[in-house]
Amino acid sequence: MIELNQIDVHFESDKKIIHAVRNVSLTIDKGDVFGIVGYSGAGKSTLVRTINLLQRPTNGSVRMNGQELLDLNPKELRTARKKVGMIFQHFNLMNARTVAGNVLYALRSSKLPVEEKKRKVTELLELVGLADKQDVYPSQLSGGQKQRVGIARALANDPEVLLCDEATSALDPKTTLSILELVKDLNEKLGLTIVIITHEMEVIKEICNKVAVMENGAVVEQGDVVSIFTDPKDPLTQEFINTATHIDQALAKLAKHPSVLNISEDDTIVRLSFVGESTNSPLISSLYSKFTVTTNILYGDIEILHDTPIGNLIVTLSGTTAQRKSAIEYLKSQDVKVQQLEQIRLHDKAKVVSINREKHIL
Amino acid sequence: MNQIAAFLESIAPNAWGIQDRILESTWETIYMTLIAAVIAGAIGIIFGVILVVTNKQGILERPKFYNILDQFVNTGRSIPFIILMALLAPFTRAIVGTTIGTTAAIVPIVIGIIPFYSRQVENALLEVDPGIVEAAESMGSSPLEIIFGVYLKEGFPSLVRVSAVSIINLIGLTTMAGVVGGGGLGDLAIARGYNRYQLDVTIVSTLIIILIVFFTQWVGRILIRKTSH
Repeated sequence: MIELNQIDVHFESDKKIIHAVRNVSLTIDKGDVFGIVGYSGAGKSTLVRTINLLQRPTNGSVRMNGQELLDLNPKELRTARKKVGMIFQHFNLMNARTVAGNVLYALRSSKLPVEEKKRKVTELLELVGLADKQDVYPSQLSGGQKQRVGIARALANDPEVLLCDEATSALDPKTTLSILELVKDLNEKLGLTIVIITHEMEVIKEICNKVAVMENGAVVEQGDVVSIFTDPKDPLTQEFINTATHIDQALAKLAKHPSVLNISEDDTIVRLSFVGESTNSPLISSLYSKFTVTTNILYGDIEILHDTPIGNLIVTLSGTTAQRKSAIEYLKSQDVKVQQLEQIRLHDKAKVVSINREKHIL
Repeated sequence: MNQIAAFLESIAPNAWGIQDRILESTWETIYMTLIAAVIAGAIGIIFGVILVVTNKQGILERPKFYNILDQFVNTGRSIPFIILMALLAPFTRAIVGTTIGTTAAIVPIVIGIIPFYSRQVENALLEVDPGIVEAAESMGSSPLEIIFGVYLKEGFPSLVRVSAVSIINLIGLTTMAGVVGGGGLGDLAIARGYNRYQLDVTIVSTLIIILIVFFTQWVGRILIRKTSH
């Protein structure tokens, strides 16, 4: 549905050329909820703006339903933009218009009769749950309500795609969830294709089925959310995922925990990650019955991503070196990813605590 | 009633004696202000809008064109008004057929205020959140729709504010119209009050001008209050 091919965006400032986007190629299919995640300055917002050509790429091609958008004249481009709704971090509502007026603005060049337009505005506001706020001005709304108006406005011309530029970054966690739920609903009910820009992996986890990770203008990793979450390759992706699954925080807390500080020669601390079915088998008890290795769970977390459970455990395995080795072999044979933790970075990242004396047991 | 009249006559004997002249001068000032405000207002808004949309990051970015207009505005603002009136004499004659009189004075007043007002309009419209403009672009709005539907609508309260400031400036310019026989309260204050040592005439002229300024500010404030949400 949307194909970005080898997109480059350069900005010139004071004779210096800034490469905001470098050679990015993405394919977004119809019905996808496609997340693009990265820290601020990674080029996410610039990239998403090339989809509706609010930002013209320096090089590359932007195709939508097979049509090359860069070939369109201004009038054709405006028509094409009506099929791509967009919502923003700071909502960008018009303060001089009421809620209904804001939605109506999106329909100003539509050929619908006035009555029809008004009916549509009411329908859209009902859809986003703001039917009672029609005649209110945006300044009287809360952040979440403003974003709902933004969504209603973006949907006015029956778009096929909704671009969300940090749409929840200015909202509190609870409101974020309710907006994400609404977006997810639109994806399911209207078959809307959704592109989400965010710096929060939580958002990706919540609603996306595909994700691309950006750094310094380039996409460092992309794929479907479940495989990225279970097997992140790039260090940046791992960092995002550790934050989203709270592993980082858990490790920081564990570093001060007595069971970690008093680790003995016969203990090793490992991180176990598993996907799907293996969460059901009684792994921990088999470790003892088969290898007499005792397992002490220090931290555990199970996420459900698109009906696939993803587990992360941090455990101490106690037993002889040989016992532990065969226990780990067994875990691996059960499709559990085992990672020996050699050190723990404390939260302030200044201190590093070594936790495994014995290296390379794996 | 008679007592009040007697009192006014006693404190401002010269002004009391030329009531008709004061009314006439007041009317001349209002006439010059209104006509000049309408003409310069229309042209200034057009220039201000062009400055905003052709500037860098504008919706019709044309840096070279912007620079020319920008320089024109800067140059226009640096010419002192009293010299501008003399400079524009041939132009005034070409337009109104004479260089003398109230109507003739309107020409330099309009030309004198346009650069100032254009800049004010530009600044007012730059206050419109670029995000709102971007949102309109993302909805497929044409440049004209953005100018009328976003810039002028969202920027309306700011436009009213700078317009009130500009009108007050404009009233200041009309007081110099006496130089080209344009009359008005400024002329009255100088020709009568100052040259003939009739201080009370100068004071009355000043008070009337202050009243007109206050009235302009009051109307501006009401409009801003009604249109800010």
